[in-house]
Amino acid sequence: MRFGTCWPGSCFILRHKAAASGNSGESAVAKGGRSAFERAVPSFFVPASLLALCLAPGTLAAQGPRLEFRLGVVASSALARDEVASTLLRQRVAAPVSREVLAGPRPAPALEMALQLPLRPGLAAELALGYSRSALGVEEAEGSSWDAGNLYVLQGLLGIRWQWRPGVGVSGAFGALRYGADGRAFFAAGGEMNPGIETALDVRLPWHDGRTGVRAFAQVHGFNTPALRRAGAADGGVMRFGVQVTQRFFGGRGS
Amino acid sequence: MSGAFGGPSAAACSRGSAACRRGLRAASRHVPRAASRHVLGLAVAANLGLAGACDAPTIPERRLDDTYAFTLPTATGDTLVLRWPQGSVVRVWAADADAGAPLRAAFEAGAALWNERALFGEYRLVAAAAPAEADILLAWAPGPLPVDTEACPPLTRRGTTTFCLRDQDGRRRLDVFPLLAGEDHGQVRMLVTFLREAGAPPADLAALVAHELGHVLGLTRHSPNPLDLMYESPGMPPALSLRDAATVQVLYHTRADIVP
Repeated sequence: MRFGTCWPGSCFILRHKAAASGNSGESAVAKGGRSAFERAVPSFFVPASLLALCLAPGTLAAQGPRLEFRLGVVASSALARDEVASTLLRQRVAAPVSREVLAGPRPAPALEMALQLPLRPGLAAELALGYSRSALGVEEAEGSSWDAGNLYVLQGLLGIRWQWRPGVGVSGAFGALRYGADGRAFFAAGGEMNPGIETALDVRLPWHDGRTGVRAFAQVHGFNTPALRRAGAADGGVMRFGVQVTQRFFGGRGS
Repeated sequence: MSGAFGGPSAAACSRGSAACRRGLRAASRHVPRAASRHVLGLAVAANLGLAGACDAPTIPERRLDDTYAFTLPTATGDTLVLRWPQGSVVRVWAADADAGAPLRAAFEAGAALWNERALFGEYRLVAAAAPAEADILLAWAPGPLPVDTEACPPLTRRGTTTFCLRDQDGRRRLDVFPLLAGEDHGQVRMLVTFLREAGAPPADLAALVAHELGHVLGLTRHSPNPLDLMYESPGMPPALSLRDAATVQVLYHTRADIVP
């Protein structure tokens, strides 16, 4: 039953598609209306959902949940690109026109809170909520750059952490990210939820009973905004990556 | 689900049967560890695979027909590019003593139209808190103006954007209209004036203001297409066409000859 209510409307993935295809005449709807990213994400989303939902009701027994705070730095690839002008147009302008413009978040501190629910020894489900705030940086290929206002990112991820070696864990998660920029730049007509996946590696440090650790992660998520679509931009993908110091506040010791 | 792991379904367990829950617990113990590894492996592979395919949303290049000319012709036959520095906040003061402040309202509407098309935050038109903070002055003419226009008098048309150039440090810059009152010299560099019609604001004031704001941003010429806001006589209601948007976007990624 739970699958029945979630899959057909498949949450953010299909809503994202609906938003993309609602804009007429754009190349975003190639290959059956779904971008490469949208077609690839369910390959992780479906088995992860299956495993999490199968395990959850029966196995949260003896081991308690763990709360983990993470503070770190996150960087990102470009959110949007502009090819500006064709060769003929450049010739008519008769002044140097930038070849390319890129915009993306400046590297910024990121705060995250994760709740880990042990499923069995060495395996835990994880729900993580994160926030980061930085500036939307814009750079031209010719070297000039400026900030186009504040940019914040909210993210919610659901995943699984597997203890690969003693004190070393790897995790995979899926979820959604939302960007905001005070209604400026290409967020002027609003933003939307962007489906994404994350992989991470964490190492417990030999202090505080292993409650302190370091974690590195990489995320990939789809991205577009109504303003960019109106300007003819097809849906694209963005990569985020970062390193964090983690601290567990209750629950099991480092593993 | 039950087929995969040999236990009862989640739907059955949702009815609250203890036997069901026991069965599900038992089934979960048989979940092969390889399954969790499989999920993690998929996540890693998908992340790595998609990372290579990640391409940010890209606005395609504008072609010749997507824009109109925006450079400022000079007496010597040259053309110059006038625009505000990228990332600028351009402060506009509407000297509007009329009831209902129609000039101020028209500015707010016009600024919203143009700001929405600054996709990379190239500029932002905002209302100034006082004339001394303003880069641009909107006013009725003829009429009392808070700035001295003797060195650079405005033309009298339905809507006019006036500015004068000077050379400073080897670069052309916009001259400042000095403030008449107060100790602060001010920084008004463009004067935008509108004629009243029979003593009242013109019916198409919103379109006039939006059109003049295009000149303020650096679209110094008119579009030859009547459907564009920057056509010589803009239509109603004011709206930016795709050509208007594309032209201002190209302008703000073109090297400027004149910076205010």
